[in-house]
Amino acid sequence: MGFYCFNILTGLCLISAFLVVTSKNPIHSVFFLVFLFFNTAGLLILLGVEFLAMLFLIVYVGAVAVLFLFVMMMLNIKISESSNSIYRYLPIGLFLSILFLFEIFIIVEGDLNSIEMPVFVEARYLLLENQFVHNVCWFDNVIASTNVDVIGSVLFTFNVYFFIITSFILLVAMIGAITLTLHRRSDIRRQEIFKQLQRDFERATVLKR
Amino acid sequence: MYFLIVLNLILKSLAIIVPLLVAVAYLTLLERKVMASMQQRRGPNVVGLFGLLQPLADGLKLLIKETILPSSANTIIFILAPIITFLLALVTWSVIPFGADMVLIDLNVGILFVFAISSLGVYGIIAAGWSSNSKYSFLGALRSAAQMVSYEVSIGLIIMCVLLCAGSLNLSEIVYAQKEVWYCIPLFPLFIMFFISGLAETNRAPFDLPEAEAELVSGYNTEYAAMGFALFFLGEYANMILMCSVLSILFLGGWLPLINISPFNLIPGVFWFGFKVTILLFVFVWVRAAFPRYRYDQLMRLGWKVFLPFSLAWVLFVSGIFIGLDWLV
Repeated sequence: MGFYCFNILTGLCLISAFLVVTSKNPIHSVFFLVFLFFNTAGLLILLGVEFLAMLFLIVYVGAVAVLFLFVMMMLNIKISESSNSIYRYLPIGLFLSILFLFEIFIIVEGDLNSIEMPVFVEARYLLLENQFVHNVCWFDNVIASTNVDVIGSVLFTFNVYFFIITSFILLVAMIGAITLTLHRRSDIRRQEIFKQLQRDFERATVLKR
Repeated sequence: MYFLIVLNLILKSLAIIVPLLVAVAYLTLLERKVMASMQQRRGPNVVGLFGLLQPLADGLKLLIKETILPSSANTIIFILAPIITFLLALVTWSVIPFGADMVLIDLNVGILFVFAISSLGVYGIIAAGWSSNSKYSFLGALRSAAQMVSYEVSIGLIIMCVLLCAGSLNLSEIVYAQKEVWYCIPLFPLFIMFFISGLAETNRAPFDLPEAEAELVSGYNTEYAAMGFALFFLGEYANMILMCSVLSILFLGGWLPLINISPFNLIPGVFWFGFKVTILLFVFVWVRAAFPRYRYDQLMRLGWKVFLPFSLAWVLFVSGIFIGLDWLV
């Protein structure tokens, strides 16, 4: 069953990635990108890292793609109708894609046969023919750590400097965005919320003589 | 062999979805009756006994009505938007525990799954507003989406505080961790903040400016006629019930009885869960009847300048206490 899940998810990933690039309407591209992130999260669940899969959904789909969607909707992007202008980029595109394929083959050595499932110890000791002897991995039963524990035990101890530097990078990005867009004009009248909340019935109207 | 497994899953899913749909339908009636009582009138009481067949009449009306597809709308996304909203409102229910060992999927990252699906709810709204090709829908959808995204931040931080106390992301474990004391007692301000953020997250009064009928012509679901409107409606009420059940799991002890003594123990956990969710839904409707609407800039200010600093401060406070007194699990 894992076989079918993997192949369906990967196939959908490839199809939606292709449709991201070739859609005429940019909003359709963003929705196909969202679908791609969903399928990638499914692949991560198959790998057993469900915490990362949920983080993918929360961060990529819930924040990054929403940001893309907002930008797409605000800008006046024209829907590209002409389809014969894409053949101009074919030589360089082909060269780059062959380069990336070559890089993937450097990393993934060996054949693309599927790794066989680890054979349980019971099948090897068929000599015993004793169905009450099970091989139990006691380590897994005693120390059952979730994904969060494992990531936390490494990220906050051995790689804590990377963590702090990453948080500083995010802080700088946030301050940069605020600095670029915030301009306080001195001549407009603003709302003073605390004054509005302190308004009292007796002092709301004043009789002037 | 696979047939039985699939049949098992389908029957279990139906056992969650069908009562949920009935609950959503009767929640609409509950809201109308309770708001009517608070406004000193009766609610719907013509259709059945005490108006109990009113949701069926509403559903039949919406089913029969003509579905209008605006000619300049982007048809695929226009049809997909209510489907996405309703789908996401139903999917989250697979990880909610209704009683001891009564979960469809006992996910180890359950609370994160709920949070992820609620942050996906923004897409249905943006898709609806954009594809309607109408100024008012688009503005209403963008406002609604920005509001949902803003209050999700404080929801995430409050969830972090509860996770620190519980020690696990598993929803059943969070409920079991409240056996001695429910989390609404030590973390009472967080309970209030989560409740208010839940109101804002589901676009519910007093934060319902993006979809109120008098403003912006009811926002993102302006152009939706019959079944589309029904799906949005169902999705919103299902989200409401979901927010109340997550609130009761995180803070009110889920399906745990009030005190672990004999008369309370005999009542099954499902009834306690339903009882707590019903009380929270009643408070949701009560808040709608009692409070005036927030203006949009006041709403956004509340989310970013009040709730975010507060919940961030609570995360620091709770983690400081846990590290200082060495209570970390």
